[in-house]
Amino acid sequence: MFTGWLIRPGAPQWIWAVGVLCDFLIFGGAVFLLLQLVPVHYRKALVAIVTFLAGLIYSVEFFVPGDPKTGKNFLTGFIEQVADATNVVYAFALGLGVYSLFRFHGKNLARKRQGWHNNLAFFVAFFVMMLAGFWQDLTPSSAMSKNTFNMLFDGTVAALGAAMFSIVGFFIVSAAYRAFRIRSAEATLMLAAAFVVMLGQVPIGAYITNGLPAAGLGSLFRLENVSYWILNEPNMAAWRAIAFGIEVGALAMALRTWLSLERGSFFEREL
Amino acid sequence: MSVFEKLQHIDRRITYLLLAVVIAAPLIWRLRLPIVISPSVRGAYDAVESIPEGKIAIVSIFWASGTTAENQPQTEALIRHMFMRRKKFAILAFDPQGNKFSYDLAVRIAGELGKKYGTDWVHWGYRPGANFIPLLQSFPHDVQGAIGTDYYGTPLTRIPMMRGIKKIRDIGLIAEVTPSRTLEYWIAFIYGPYRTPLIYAPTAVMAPEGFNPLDAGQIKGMLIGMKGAAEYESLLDRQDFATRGAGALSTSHMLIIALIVVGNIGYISSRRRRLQS
Amino acid sequence: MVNELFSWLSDSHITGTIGIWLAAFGTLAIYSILYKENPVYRLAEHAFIGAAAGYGVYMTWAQILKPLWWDKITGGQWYWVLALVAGGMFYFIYSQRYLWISRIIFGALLGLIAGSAFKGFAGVNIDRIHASFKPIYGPGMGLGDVLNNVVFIVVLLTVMAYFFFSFEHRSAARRVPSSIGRWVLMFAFGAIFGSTVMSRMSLLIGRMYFLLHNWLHIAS
Repeated sequence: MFTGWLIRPGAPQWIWAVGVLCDFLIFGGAVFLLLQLVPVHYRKALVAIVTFLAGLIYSVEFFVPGDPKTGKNFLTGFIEQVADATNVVYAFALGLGVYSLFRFHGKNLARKRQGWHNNLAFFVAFFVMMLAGFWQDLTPSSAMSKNTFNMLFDGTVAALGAAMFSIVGFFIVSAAYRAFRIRSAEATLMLAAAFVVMLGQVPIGAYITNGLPAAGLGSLFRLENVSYWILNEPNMAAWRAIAFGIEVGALAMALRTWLSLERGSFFEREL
Repeated sequence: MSVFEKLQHIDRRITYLLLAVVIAAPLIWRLRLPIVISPSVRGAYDAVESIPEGKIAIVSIFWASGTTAENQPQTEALIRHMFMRRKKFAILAFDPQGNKFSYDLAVRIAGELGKKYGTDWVHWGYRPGANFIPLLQSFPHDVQGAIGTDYYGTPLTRIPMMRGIKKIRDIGLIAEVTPSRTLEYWIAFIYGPYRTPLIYAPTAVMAPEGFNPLDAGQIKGMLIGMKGAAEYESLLDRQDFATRGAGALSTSHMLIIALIVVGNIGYISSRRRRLQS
Repeated sequence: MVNELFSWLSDSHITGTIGIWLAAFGTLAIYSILYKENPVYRLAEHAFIGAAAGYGVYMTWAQILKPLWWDKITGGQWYWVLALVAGGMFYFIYSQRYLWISRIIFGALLGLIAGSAFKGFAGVNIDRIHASFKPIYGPGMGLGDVLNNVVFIVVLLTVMAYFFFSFEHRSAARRVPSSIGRWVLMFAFGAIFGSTVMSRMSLLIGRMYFLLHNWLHIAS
């Protein structure tokens, strides 16, 4: 409508924004009204049909043999357009998380609950970081905007994120010291394997058994070789077995989801 | 409480302090220990060396600020190796933070080695991780169409090194640097049907699972966490952060083992006393 | 005058230094939780969530929505407005009355991913099933290879037996492999524990290195 017929390329960005908004209201409104015409008892079926048709795209594309020369079948070209569309649609879903955060922190701030200054810090940090990014985009040749953005990113997002994950290191030491007890033979075996892997994976392990030959029968007992053997043989075989089970289970779950056979709180609620 | 029973109840803040000390000491006074190259890292190194002429590599970034200490040295080592051997590569980020980290890293190393954006390397920008599977499905048939634009919004068709890179057969290697189970999707939709070589650079916590595809030949090599990056640096004759950190890894592991042993000595002795009484 | 006031922002050395000090204080604020719960930690935590979310919004617009959606619309491909309509359907999740509309778009996306499961299963597992048929003995195999393959087969079958819950583990033929599987799983769990410790220590070493080298300049 507006963006297709009334607005010409080269028009100012704000006109395009108004046009997109108008088109969204028109098309979105039309889709909304059409959906309201769907009887209540057919809504679940509609969702199931949409799910099934969406899944049909990739599964049919996989099962139908392609042209021997190109490897493509009649759906392969459509797949790229699907990926382009889902790229954008998933990006719009980001707003769900942002809205949830705003709602949670906004409520606490509005009601001045205990610790409301933390919620204020959330909003300040959110808008400062976001606006610094947009400032950088709008003034690409400005050193000021670029430096500000880098300063804020390195000083907050990068550093605080790394710090949050790194404190787990302290907790794991404390937890391992307190909880790891050899109460059974199996626990002892697990502990022994853990010790060998921990030592063998770091240089100190190689240093401890440095006296053993680098090749031949003696080399089998070097800590780094024992550690690698544990990872590459019994561990790998165990993970192969576990992974087979996980993959079969995942396939079954995918089939149930595709055919809308899955039951759960979200799916069971009345439409 | 006897001495042995007290060994089970050392205050957690003392353990935190001990950990901080054993990590700081080798970082301040360098601890030089031998770095032994594991077969999995050697495999990854050889895979990069074997990238055919005329093909490009892809460095896939899934990591964010939380796993910088492991994934960033891995990314740096791989990028540096590709620059040194004149292997052209593209970076594709599926995390918004990883997008900037990888871009800044590549710009810094490119500046050190005199490499040019658009000719020697390119950054394909950020795509949502949720769209990973649809992207991998469309990618093999039309690389440029599936990605669209680069980090700056420039269409890939206008980038010099992307000329001739049209389909999956024009990709010589994919290096997946990730803290999660995303390798399975590269194997499922790229290696499985098209046999494009893959190498894997996970955080150490994901590494035990990585031996499964390594044994099956689905990946050519693997860099296990920071230690794997240190081994790779050793192969490049460099001593960057990962090599320095390997000394601190050693001392921290020794501390954890010592604490577990001490805790178990206390546990066994207190259990014996209970049985005796 | 504003430009003069903020002219220091144009100097990357100054902003770089400020960034390092900001990062250092933020890191120490996060680490303060190790002593006990305190308001400084909470403030840093909330600031991080806000900054990360704000950064995510900016990056989503700059790297995805602008080049792959907005530029297409302004370039003449008006039908991309329909992507906004589809994306808008997500937000009906907040409405009790129109919740079902959000299920249409969620169902479509879930269906897409579920439909790719067949290709994914084949792509991942065919090679692994093939690789699992290892010879117990063959030409060119040394004693080490024979032992490794025997270990692999025993571990694979016993762990699969352990996780096979369709029948009860009553008979010895069911119980013995299952209990061996439980034992050999200890190797995997030990390896996981060892690797997890290494991973967490690495993350901690990264932050300590930043504090000692980048901030305090006392590490080499």
